[in-house]
Amino acid sequence: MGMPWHLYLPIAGNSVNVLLIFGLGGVVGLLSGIFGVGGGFLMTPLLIMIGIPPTVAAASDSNQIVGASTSGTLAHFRLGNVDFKMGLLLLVGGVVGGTLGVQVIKLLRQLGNADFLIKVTYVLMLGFVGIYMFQESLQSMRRAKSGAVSKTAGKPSRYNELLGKLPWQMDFARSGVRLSLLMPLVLGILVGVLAAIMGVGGGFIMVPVMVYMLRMPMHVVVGTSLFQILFTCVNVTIMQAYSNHTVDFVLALLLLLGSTLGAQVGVKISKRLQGDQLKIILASLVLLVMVKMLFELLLTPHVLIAYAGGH
Amino acid sequence: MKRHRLHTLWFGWFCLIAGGAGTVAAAPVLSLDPPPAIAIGTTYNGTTLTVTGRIAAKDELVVRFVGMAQDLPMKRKGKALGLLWMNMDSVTFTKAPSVFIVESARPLSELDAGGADGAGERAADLGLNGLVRRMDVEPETADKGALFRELLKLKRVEGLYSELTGGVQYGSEEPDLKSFSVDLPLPSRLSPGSYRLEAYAVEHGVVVTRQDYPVSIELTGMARVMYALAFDHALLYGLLATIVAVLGGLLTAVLFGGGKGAH
Repeated sequence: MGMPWHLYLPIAGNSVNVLLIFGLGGVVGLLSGIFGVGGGFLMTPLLIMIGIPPTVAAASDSNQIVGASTSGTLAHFRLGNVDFKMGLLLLVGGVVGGTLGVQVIKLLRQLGNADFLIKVTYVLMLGFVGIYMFQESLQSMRRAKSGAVSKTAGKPSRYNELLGKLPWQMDFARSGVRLSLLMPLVLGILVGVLAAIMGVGGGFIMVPVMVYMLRMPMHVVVGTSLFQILFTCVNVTIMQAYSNHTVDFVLALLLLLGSTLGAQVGVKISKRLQGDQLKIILASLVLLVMVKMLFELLLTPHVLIAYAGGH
Repeated sequence: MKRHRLHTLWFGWFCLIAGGAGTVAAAPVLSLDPPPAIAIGTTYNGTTLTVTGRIAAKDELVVRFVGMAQDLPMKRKGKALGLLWMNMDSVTFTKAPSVFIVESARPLSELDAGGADGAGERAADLGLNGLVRRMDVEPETADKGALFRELLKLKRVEGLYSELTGGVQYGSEEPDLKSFSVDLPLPSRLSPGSYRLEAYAVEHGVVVTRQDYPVSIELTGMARVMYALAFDHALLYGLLATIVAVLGGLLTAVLFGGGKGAH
């Protein structure tokens, strides 16, 4: 009785149920610990649903991801799952790409109908990535069952040849791959541009890129992705707090309590699962998000107007 | 002759004043007690604002809690390619109050049934329909009505606009007066700022008098400190929020996996 289960969020301008936010944080932290994604795709819409303004929801979620990804990165680091060299290169590319993406989106908005283009591209991309990942991990699991041990996934070797010809080759010991320095940089830029245009953190795009284009083992992908997300979200949190005043620290703190714990449990679960199992579950999740977005696009919304500024 | 005319004039003035005084005595009575201060602290989760006062026994009371009027930029949802729902063109509602809560003993439409055509605001206009009529939308579009309906739907879901009945309690005091007490439920989604409490006396469906009080809502305690930090020292706030998140993450990782650190 005496314990207040509601807290007022001064920046969001609304009150929330403490237990609900704690639970939400826990679930999203769990996902980020298992798969190395930030979970913004899930958290931001849920926060909007319980009455947090869209801009505050996204910014406070970034603040929360800083905590969850710190917790997850450290846990994965202990398991030897973080490739710092690769992570830093991707990060540098990501920052350049993000800055570029902001300019691209300005240009798109001037051309008009940008939202349409962005949404449709997002859905198509989720669909493509989800289906590809699902198929590939399914095949790989079948192969493993039939006993055929194949170390490299069945990709045409022309890609490998091309990779070998690029300049500035270097070893990435943690990932067990030898690649050109250009690969993570260029792919980082690409993901950064896409993430900025679509207004998402990029974990969903980054994880498949690391698995299929950089050929990193899935467990190292998860740890390295979290390491990279940590820095991206530190940047977003400070920028949003400074220029838009949209970070609600009370909200972030409540989410954080759940998500840092969730991330730890997630890492434990991740450790027990095999790379292919992780991939196939993540692929299902990606497809689920795609289907949800598709439904939102097809079904008549309850209210036919929305506040400007959200997604 | 002149003096006589002067007397008539004086008499005329007297009658006029006396007559005037007579109407003042019969004038509608409404006295609203000053509302209590409202503070939003850490545990605020909506509150009830109790409004008291006295009103002429024959009149009906309507009370409103109104936020500052503002421009509301929004996106209209529409079908792209006749298939996919998404945010299309921008519309801006002007003169839209942040909060609008109306409370009366009986539905406003019933109060309006008196049917007097006299000058003065009609009771029905005190509610959401009247509010919408005073608002504008830019750019001027043909389906203004449809847009307002959607706005009301959204604001009702958010608990920011409501038209309520049953929260007004009348008591008796003097033969011509009755006391009133109104419980106005204020939403949890409330920001600090200036608001207005308005009371209206309605007779035969028409507003005969009104009384207003400004209501200032302020943050207190931790909520106030946090808000001030976020707006007055934004960079420091952002840095602190980041540092606390990193420390929280580290602490959890250490506590959780402390026993079996690999390094």
